[in-house]
Amino acid sequence: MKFLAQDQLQAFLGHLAGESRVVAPVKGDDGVVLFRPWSPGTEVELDVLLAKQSAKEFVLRQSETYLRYGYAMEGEAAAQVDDSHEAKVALEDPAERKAAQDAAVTAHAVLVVEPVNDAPAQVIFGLRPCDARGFVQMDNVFGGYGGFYFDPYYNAKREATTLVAVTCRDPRSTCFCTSVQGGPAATEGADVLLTQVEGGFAVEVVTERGETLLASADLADAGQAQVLYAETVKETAEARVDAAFDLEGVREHLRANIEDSGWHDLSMRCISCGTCTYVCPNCYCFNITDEMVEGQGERIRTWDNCFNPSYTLETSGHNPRDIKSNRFRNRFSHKFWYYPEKYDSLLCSGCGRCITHCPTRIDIREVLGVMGSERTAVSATTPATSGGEA
Amino acid sequence: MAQATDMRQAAGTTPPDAEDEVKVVGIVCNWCSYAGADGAGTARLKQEFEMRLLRVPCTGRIDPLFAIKAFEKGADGVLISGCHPGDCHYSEGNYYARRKFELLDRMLPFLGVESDRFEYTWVSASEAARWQKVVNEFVGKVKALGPREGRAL
Amino acid sequence: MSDRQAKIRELAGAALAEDRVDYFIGWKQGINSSEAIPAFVRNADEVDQLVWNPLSHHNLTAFLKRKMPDPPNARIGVCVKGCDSRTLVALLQEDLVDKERIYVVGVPCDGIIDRRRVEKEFADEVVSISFSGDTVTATTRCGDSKDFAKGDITFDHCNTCRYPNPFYADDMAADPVPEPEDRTPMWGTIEEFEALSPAEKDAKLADAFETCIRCFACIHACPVCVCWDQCVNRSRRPALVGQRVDTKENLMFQMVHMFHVAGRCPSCGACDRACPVEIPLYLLHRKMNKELYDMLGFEPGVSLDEKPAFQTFKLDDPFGEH
Repeated sequence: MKFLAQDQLQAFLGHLAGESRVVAPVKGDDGVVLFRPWSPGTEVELDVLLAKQSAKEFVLRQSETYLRYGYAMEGEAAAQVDDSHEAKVALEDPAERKAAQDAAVTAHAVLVVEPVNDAPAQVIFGLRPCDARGFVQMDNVFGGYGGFYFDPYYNAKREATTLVAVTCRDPRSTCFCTSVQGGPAATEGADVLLTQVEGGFAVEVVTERGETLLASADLADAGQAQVLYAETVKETAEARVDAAFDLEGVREHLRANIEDSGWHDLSMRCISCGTCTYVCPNCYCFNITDEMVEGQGERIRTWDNCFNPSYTLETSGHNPRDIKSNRFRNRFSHKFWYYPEKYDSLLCSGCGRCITHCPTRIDIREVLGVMGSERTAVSATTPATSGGEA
Repeated sequence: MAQATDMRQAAGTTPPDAEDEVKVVGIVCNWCSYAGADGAGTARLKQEFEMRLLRVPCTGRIDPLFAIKAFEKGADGVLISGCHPGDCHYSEGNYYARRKFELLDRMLPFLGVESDRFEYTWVSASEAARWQKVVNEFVGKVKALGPREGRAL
Repeated sequence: MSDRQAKIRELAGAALAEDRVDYFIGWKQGINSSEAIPAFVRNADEVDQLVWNPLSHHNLTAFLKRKMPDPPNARIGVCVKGCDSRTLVALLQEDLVDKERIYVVGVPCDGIIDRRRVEKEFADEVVSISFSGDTVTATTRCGDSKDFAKGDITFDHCNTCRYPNPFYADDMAADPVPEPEDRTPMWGTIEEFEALSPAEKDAKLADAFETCIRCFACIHACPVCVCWDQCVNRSRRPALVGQRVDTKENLMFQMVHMFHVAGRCPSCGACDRACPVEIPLYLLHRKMNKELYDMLGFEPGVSLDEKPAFQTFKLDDPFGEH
């Protein structure tokens, strides 16, 4: 274990920034903490436990250009497709006009496609173990099935990214990482794990990539006291995360309760925005759009979310999730039923952002507590609410 | 493009440096202002070249967002013109529109766009000379401000 | 305060027991006492969860708008504060809510607390907020505690509120609170922004909208933004708003919201409070209302008989004569 003194932090980040872009949680003028590209002198905010958004944006970009395209004229005919004044005057000569017409027959526009995939090296510093774990869960999707669904855009950025996580000192009441197989000092996904101790950070190398990152940083070894302190911080944090729900049987119960009217009750206060999915370190749904102006365009990928009324809208106009409660159900079922079934892992790392950021504070723990458990005498008190609109 | 440059030189309105060129969008109604602009062209009334016209059926069709979108996409000025109040081809389209444009006119400075960059006015089909004056004055004001470089709008 | 809470419970209980409504929407305590959230009550014996306190900020009329009721033809009871009632009136003016299907309980309001302002006073999480007279005490998870004078942490628009009593209600939870005699609107913080130069305004807006994640919380939390699945912000064709999430498109996205609720929006602030990245949307909407008032003397949602500003006109509107 190494030691990084608090007063060396800026120099350390500066050192990292020499090799790659550094992204860190930074407090803005409005008091909002977000992951932002770090520049020398910027203070890294680690007292506020969670940045408003997860760091996922820096690997799975909210908007990302797949390719640029446009039309170009090809061949000698290209010169003839000149609509300038001079060219038109020249065409008044019959012979020239004939030649131009012949050329026009062979003239054709070709589609020019230029793939784009920028992936500069970057270090994401100061993310929490839950955020780091989110990347592992997305890795399954974008590189899973032995590469059958290998996504070159995600993976290029993922490979260029080193994650330096920081142990949570003061977990919030909305944190529930320990209920979803994680923890405030878990190392899954992180390349390096820092733990705040007196006067600085205890530094643990987790992966080879982390080792490479630190190789040139010239950090001192941590003393025995610092190692012990770090252990205490981790244990205290672990104890502070409340047990939220029992994972046992959740998947089966979600499947069994798919048509339960409880979904209507729980989704009543949902306003069907996409905040929970966009702040989530795991949610990865996306949309692809071609945006074109005057024959030049870009194919872009943007985040999508299951609360969007046009999510899973089919060309026929049919939408299998046409009402709010259906879309609401999808988020929880995806995280704790379909995804686990495919990848034998969970699509939730327990950061609790979906709870704190929800405009109406819908609590994933409550939803799973109700729908992820055995339900008997369902809807004895609730009117059947099928056939609703969106 | 080459043709346009020639004509500009002929008209003596070539800007000193193409980089300083401003882009002005005019959104006009089919029945009055577009016809007025047409009349101005037919009468060979010299106008600033920076104006690009979009024709819509009625000013009532113009959403204030059209102007915002134009600014977002790099316009340096937006002019809206239609039939005089009372003369709308559809009786009252421009009365509804007038309220929207007035609000837009008052909001744009709040969004960081100088008030001289937006104007709404009325030009009838028979007012070719007025059209010329409106265009030249408006484009002149936008030119005085120069190209915009907004980060937000 | 607790009188109003008791009365809300009583009225809700009666409406449910007499089967006048299918469910009743009020406020209840959230995860802890530091926040209130919307409550949906289906049974008369569950009304004890309903609360009323200065944290009851949600504008519940958002749950009446198109595609929100579940089932769509539900008969709904709902609580409204003064500002909420203005959005309800705006919806009723345009027949966007069926008057016959709603039962409205009006709650006179003394101002709502800006919880985020309290939150920012601590690095730790605020887990409890309690009230004693005009003193508000916030306590964090570690046990740190701080007292605030209520007036210091209420929303800006509450401090300048002229309509604390609901305009439209079937029953009231209390007698009306005193209203200011002078109803001339005050616009508070926007003047500071107005005074900036165009370049400064642009820079401020750009910084704010750079962080927008286009989650639609502002639009869906807005009681008077009703297009839902047909919103032009979602549309690919016409592509009025690009799908690319960047500063300019994000502002355009908000412009769609702002201009499309002009004449209906009374600046209740629901969009601002819903924004997960705290963009000061309220500034824009308030400025819009200021200009509407200057232009037409119009205030949205203050009279059932009035038409919204942009659905009507006067031959002699005092502008645009040139």
